[in-house]
Amino acid sequence: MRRLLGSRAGAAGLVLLSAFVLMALLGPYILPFPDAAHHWRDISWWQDSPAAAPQLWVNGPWNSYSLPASRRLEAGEPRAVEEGNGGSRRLSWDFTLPRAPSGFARDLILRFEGEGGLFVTVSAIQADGSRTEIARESLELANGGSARVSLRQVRAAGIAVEAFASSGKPDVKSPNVLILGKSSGWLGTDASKRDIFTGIVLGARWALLLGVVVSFLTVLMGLVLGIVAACFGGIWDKGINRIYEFFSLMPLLPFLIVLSAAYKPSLWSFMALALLFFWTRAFKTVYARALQIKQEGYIEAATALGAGRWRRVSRHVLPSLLPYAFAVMALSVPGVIMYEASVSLLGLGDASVITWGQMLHDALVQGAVINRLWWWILPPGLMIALMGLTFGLIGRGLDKSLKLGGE
Amino acid sequence: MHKNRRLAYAARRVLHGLVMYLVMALAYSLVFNGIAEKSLRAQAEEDVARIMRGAVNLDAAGYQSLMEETRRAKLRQYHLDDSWALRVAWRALEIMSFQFGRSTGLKSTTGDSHVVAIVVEALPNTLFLFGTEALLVLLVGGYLGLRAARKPGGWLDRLASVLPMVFNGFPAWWVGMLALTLFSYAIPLFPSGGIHANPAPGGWAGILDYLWHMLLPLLTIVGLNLWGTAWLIRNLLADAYSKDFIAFARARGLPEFRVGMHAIAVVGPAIATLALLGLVQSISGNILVEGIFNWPGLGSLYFSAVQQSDVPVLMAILSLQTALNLAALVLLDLSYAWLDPRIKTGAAA
Repeated sequence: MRRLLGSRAGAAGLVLLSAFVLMALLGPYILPFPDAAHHWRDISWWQDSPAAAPQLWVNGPWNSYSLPASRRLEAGEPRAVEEGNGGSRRLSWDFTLPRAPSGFARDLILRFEGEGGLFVTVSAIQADGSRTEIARESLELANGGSARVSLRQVRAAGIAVEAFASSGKPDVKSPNVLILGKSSGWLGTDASKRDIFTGIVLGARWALLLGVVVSFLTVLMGLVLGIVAACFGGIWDKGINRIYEFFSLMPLLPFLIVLSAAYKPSLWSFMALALLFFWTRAFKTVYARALQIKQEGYIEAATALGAGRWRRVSRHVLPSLLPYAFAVMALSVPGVIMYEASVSLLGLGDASVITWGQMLHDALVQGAVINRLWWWILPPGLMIALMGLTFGLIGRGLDKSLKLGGE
Repeated sequence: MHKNRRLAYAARRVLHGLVMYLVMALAYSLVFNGIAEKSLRAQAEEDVARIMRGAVNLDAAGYQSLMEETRRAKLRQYHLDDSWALRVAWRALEIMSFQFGRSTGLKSTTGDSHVVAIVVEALPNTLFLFGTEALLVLLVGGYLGLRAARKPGGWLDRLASVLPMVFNGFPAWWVGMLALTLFSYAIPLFPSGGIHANPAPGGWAGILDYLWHMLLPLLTIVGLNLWGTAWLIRNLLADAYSKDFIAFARARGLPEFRVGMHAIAVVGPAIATLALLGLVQSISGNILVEGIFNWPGLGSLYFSAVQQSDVPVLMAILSLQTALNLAALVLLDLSYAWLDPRIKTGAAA
């Protein structure tokens, strides 16, 4: 670890890695939508966000135009209450919308809470005081629940809301109006109104898990098989090398694509599959190194002293191989993450988790490229690239410290 | 005698490649037997239905027996009535001999639904795109590598050592998405996809139009893959530059360009194999870039075949890519043996 920190690449890699780990661990505390992990694909859960909106910091001195954030207006006491016969009531509220450039259209969401049946009419109030009706809807408020009226593309200075409760004893609280923003969150939203920053943070844990678990297990596998092949020789050597040849010659990405299309694997079975293929890289390094070590004098000396095969492996070969194995491990992480992302890009990802590759799949099929929604395309790919770089740097740092240590 | 030994070596390599392909076909057949049979069964039923539409003037019993007979014959024809092990073997043979029957939905541009027609139509586009890429990567990467090797520790050298690691984690298709957003939709410089304008111009203009459409995907993958090759070539050349004959060449007063040629001559075979290997790796690793740019090659075919769950087409692309990989590796071994006299081949090796 100290040697790793000694090289610039290794230190940079560790810093990046801690950032990713923090991101994965702190997810629930820093997210604007903490429950999003369970609702990512639930479209109605996201309905109060604007669709395909750029990030909030699009506003600022660096832009000549401004795209306001979402804003909620609470209604005060009703402007008028009329009691009718049979217990019916007519309530009305006026909302003054914040000033906006003329012709500026806004999406509004009117939300009622309470109990009972309501008949609602909404009128737009223009600057000159004229009113035009823009919506009428009948709402049923279940026990203390809420109901919404969506008003699209409203061009007005204010709106007037009238609610008519026909019978019973309707108990309606004053409604509120959400003015949907034209910008949202740290990184904007996608076409399904989901917060991209939330997706990025939630994706980190799966990318980390996938990369670290797969690379750890594959290196373990490569280590064991490499040592067995190199030190046991004979049929072990031949057999393992044949298997190695088989897995290293198979075109991995095409195979994973077809397999995923055929069996729709979960993230866990994807990991198991990756395990089958990714051990080859560690094996190659370990095998070559172990063959070298076997020739070295101290092994011969140990043999001459009567050390058995197991003792030679466990006391002499394994310790000198471990650092190499760790370097390979770090270097194989980017590949694992990239393959998962590529398979996800085709829409074959595990739908019970959120990965960056899946976000890019959504971006691709929902026209992010054509509509130039760059804030939807850039962050997920950048995270994949950064995660790859993180482990690339760590691997390089390990590699360098190995060479220095060896010299 | 020497030549015979080389031929024997070549024959053994080719045979080994074929055996590997057989093993992989068997593996694919084992893994995908279930879904491959499902589409095959559907195909058999389709055949039966087509034949039965032609059966007229039959009473109910006659119709029934004819249908059963036809079905049996069809199951026989597709080897669906054999035991499991035999079925797997037949599937493997079909994969080996590239018989994938008809697709379950996709069609070629001429309306042909035979899998081989669909794949063969897409293959040239893939080979051309990635072949050009490999060539450009070799030329530009070689040039940069040469420049970097001449001045170890210079800015280019350091850049060439860092960029491969940085770009290693970049999904090429993501860079393609960004490039398309930026250079086609935000700034309309490049076409937004496909292989030709609509309507397609003919003659030379058509060829130019094709190349023009290829440019952005080409630049994307070349830009990403360039640096790995540059770094490898730099390392090979740096090694060669440290040899005595370079010092001799310089002492003879040869211009630096000729000295560079000396170095390249030594590492030539290694670079040739590097190029071929790069081509193969790029085709199997960056193939999805095609889907982003709607470049109608094997990569785009993956997108449409996955979308329509067209199993026969998917199997065909997978088998084709496997065959390409193996063929390239055999070729690599052979060319290496031919190009580099130091490598011993045959029994003496």
